[in-house]
Amino acid sequence: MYPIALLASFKLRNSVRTVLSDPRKLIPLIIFILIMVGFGGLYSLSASQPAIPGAQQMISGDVFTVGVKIAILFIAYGFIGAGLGDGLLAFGPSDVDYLFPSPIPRRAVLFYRLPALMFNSLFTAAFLLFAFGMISHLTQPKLPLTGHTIAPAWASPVALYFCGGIYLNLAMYVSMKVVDRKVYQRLHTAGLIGGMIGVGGIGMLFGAKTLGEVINSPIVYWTFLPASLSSQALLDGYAKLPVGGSILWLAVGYVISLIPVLTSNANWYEQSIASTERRSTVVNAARGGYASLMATRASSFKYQSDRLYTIRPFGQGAVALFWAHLCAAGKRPWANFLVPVLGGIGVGVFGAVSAKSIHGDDMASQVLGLAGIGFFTVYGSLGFMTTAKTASESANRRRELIGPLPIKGWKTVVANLGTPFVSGTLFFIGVSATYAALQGPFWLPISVGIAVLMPLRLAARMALQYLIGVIYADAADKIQQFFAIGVYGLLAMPFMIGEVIVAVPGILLRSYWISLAAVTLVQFPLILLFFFLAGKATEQAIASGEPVRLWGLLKRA
Amino acid sequence: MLQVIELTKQFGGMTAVDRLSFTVGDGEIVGLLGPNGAGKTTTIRCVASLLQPTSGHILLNGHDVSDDPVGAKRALAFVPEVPNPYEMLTVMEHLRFVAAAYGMEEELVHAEEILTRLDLWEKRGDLGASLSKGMRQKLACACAFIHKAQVFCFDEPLIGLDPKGMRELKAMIMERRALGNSVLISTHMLDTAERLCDRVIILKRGQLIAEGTVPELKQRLQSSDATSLEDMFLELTEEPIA
Ligand SMILES: Nc1ncnc2c1ncn2[C@@H]1O[C@H](COP(=O)(O)OP(=O)(O)OP(=O)(O)O)[C@@H](O)[C@H]1O
Ligand SMILES: [Mg+2]
Repeated sequence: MYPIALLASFKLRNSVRTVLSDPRKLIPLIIFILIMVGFGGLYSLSASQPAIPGAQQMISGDVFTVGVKIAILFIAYGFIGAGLGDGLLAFGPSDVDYLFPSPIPRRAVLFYRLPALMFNSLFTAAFLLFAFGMISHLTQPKLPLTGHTIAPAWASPVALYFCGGIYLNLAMYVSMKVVDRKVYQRLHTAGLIGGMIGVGGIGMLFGAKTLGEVINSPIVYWTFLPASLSSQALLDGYAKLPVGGSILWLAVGYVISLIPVLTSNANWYEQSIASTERRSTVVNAARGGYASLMATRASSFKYQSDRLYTIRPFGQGAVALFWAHLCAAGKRPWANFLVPVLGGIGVGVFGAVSAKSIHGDDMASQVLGLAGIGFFTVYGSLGFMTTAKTASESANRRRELIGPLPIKGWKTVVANLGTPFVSGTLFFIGVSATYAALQGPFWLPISVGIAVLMPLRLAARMALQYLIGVIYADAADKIQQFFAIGVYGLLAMPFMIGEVIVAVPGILLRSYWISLAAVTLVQFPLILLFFFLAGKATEQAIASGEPVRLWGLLKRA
Repeated sequence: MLQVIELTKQFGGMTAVDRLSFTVGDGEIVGLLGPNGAGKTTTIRCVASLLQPTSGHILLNGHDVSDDPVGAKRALAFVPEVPNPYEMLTVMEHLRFVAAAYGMEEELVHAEEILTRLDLWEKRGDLGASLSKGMRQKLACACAFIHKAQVFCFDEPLIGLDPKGMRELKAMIMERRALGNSVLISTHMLDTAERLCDRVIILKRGQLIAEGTVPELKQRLQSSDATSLEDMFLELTEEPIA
């Protein structure tokens, strides 16, 4: 173990040093910590507040209980999927070169992996507890307070941690044994979709009570025993019942699940190398933008070449560049164009049906439906936005190639962002058209908003992401990438607040249309500004080959 | 001493190495040659037990890589095709980690000498992320020389090295031979192979098509125009025109 500890300590020490010595990394770290502290504050604040009026009817004790169980079931199931994918055994390429050939027993190397997995599982536990806690604070569901034991504060995190750990260990064992896990992955995905449809269908048709009966049925209980035990522990904790029994069983299960992993003699290095290589091709492809990411994901292995494609040249300058990207995306029409539309239709159906089916004219149920559609639309657009950053990263790596071309910076940005923008817009059109067709509540302003405002917003945000991608250009540096996300949040915040402010007059006048128009109009100057800055940054990066500083850029502009 | 016995490695249905047998004796440098995709890297990765042989055995100083991987690896120093250093480790820390991994921290006294010869001593405090391609290559070689291995496996070690680095590395490899170590080198640089290696093995599509010292091969071919290893290599590996 000693050499591995040495390796970890070197890595940690140098990472901390690098972060502390570079203000560009330090500031986002501080912001990140502040945000976390903010969440903590929000959490404790919400505990002392009265429930949101009307919420108690919507989320009853039963609904809350079933919700907790379903969430934990799905997360546990997700962990299995994580193991079937490449995540668990994918080490870094440096590990393949330096750690694997060294005479350190494979078991010890696996041990080195466990802390990372632990972190995974702990983080999920923390997130779940935060979410459940917030919901229960805000809605104060009437849970049966049957007991009067107060569980120690560590009980629920530990229970969730063991649950996640058990599933991860099982998944890891499968990863070690089976090289080609594609069939398992497909089955898993099919199961996930089936489960979601099942839960959604039963919940909508028969209500929470029947759903609860299904979830509590012995088949589900025993098949997902660790998940059942941990939701048991959590809910017992809320109900002030003793939780020791469940946690003890989970601990036993965790230890048992470690045995096959640590006693196996399988030479999983080969599996790991396959995972690592596949991963790094996916990561590289991700840097090449949404289109090539999807292409790589679809063609599952790098040694497998399938059909030949040719890209017919078209246009000049930036148009040619855009055309090349579009053709590349067109090789995978399914992933790039159909999935966004289908996803949009799904969100539209969900929004309209849920807003309508929770019937009644009461504000609360309509708000719930609208919040649903809003959440998924924004979430979807986030996905498309992140592709902007990867597009800028790939442009950065192709600097030598693109640099000498006589194309203006902003045009390059437009060309690079064109394809993901098309995909995103297709998604919004899907949502909007479906919602309008199903005539969900307030369908006219909502559909118009999603079809017109969201694409414009996406364009502005993508340009902002692109700009940050150029500024935090070192794609190999994960820390830097991580902080770039924080910086994005920081920069986007004032504009988001601005959007809310311009919406206020419309809200005061009780007209959606005025708010919508105001927020939409605000996007145009933002688009101009961000594309201008991203273009300037690109030009500067190409000319100097040096990292671009935001301040320098603003000063010059 | 490295013994490869009837090694076969398949990927899915594709056979990358096909019943390959050879030996690298003590105090011997053997060159592994072959066109792109011949299976050189696959063979070397099997030797380093990064890949599980489909069938066959590999013995490193008598330790079978499948039955006793730790014992086998202790005898081996391996330099991959494209070494990726740890981004967050300095050059010196790489050596310290490797020395610790092989349980040979006392060998770190040679670190300065090795790094100086490879022009890395000045860079000893630099992070892996900041190293150039050639320096990464040199770092991997330095790590290979820091512990007392009996068998050395290099996968195209000379690519990307500057002339001085190449000469120094070749000198270091020859010193190892003098010490009685076994060295396996895959390379495309045929003139180097001709001068450096005691014997060469030529692979094609995973199969051994020729083996021996360069003069032996020349004699066997008996073709008047094959004067260099390059001529022979091209003649041997050429695809018959159908
Ligand atoms: N993980 C893998 N999965 C599938 N096929 C592989 C894998 N690794 C190598 N191959 C295939 O095995 C064959 C041999 O590859 P290998 O890398 O050993 O060749 P090489 O002799 O090192 O070539 P080069 O001179 O280009 O380095 C190639 O056809 C390659 O495509
Ligand atoms: Mg090779």
